Amino acid sequence: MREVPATLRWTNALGTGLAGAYGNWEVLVGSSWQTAPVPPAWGDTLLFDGAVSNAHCVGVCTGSVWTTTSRITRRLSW
Amino acid sequence: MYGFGLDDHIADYAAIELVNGYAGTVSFASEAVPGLEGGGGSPTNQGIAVTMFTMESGAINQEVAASELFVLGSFTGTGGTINSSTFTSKLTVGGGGTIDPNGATIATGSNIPFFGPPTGPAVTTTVKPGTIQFNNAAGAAIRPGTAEQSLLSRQRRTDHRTHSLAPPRLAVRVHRGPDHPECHRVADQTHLVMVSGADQRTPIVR
Repeated sequence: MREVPATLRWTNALGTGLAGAYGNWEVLVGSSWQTAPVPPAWGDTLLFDGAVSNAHCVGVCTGSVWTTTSRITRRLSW
Repeated sequence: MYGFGLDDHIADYAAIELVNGYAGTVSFASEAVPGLEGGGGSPTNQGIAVTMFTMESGAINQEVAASELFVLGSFTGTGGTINSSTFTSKLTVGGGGTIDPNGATIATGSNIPFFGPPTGPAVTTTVKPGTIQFNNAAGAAIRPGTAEQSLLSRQRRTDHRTHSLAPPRLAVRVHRGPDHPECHRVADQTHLVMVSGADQRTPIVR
């Protein structure tokens, strides 16, 4: 779970190149980056920062995840 | 890259930014795959919509149908490759912005339509000196009544493969696409179009 929308940056930490794997992303929390608990969601800002990773990114948002805000909870399926 | 099955006038993402020398490729999946809210496959759901798109380097890949990118806000392009695939897709700019090759080259394998009134807001896209290289059968289309159109209208009188739209000194280098269309209209409006041609010239038509 995390607040959405948020700012995510691509790390490819898992080495899979798959954007649907949330472990390949970090989320900005306050002023620090943390491993994202879920992959990109509707309304997010996505950063591909060469200072962090130059890996290819394929197929953002493949899978299914619940996202929660203070007002809505919805299931994102794709 | 994948959207959420929303209509193309609704942003899937607030922003997508390729920055700080990112050298990878971001591949867009087809939006035609059903997603959230029953999207997918409809004429109004042909790709991913973002509020802001920034591209300083790297590449995006739009190698499949329905992988168009709709920039509802501003587009800033200062480098990289727009659609590195051989499939001719589309990057639609609805909110203006800046294309600044910094005297170098920005390549695109996608058509780049710029939309203003009556279908979009009155906005300005500034194209600074450099080269925009159109690969595949791609071109740029600009709605009538804009300053950009005036530049192109003047350019229409000179019909070379490489155009010098001065000022600024914009060189549009067109590579022959696989299907070699000599010219075509991007939409049913009176857009100006630059596309690759079968001969050595690049027709600009109304």
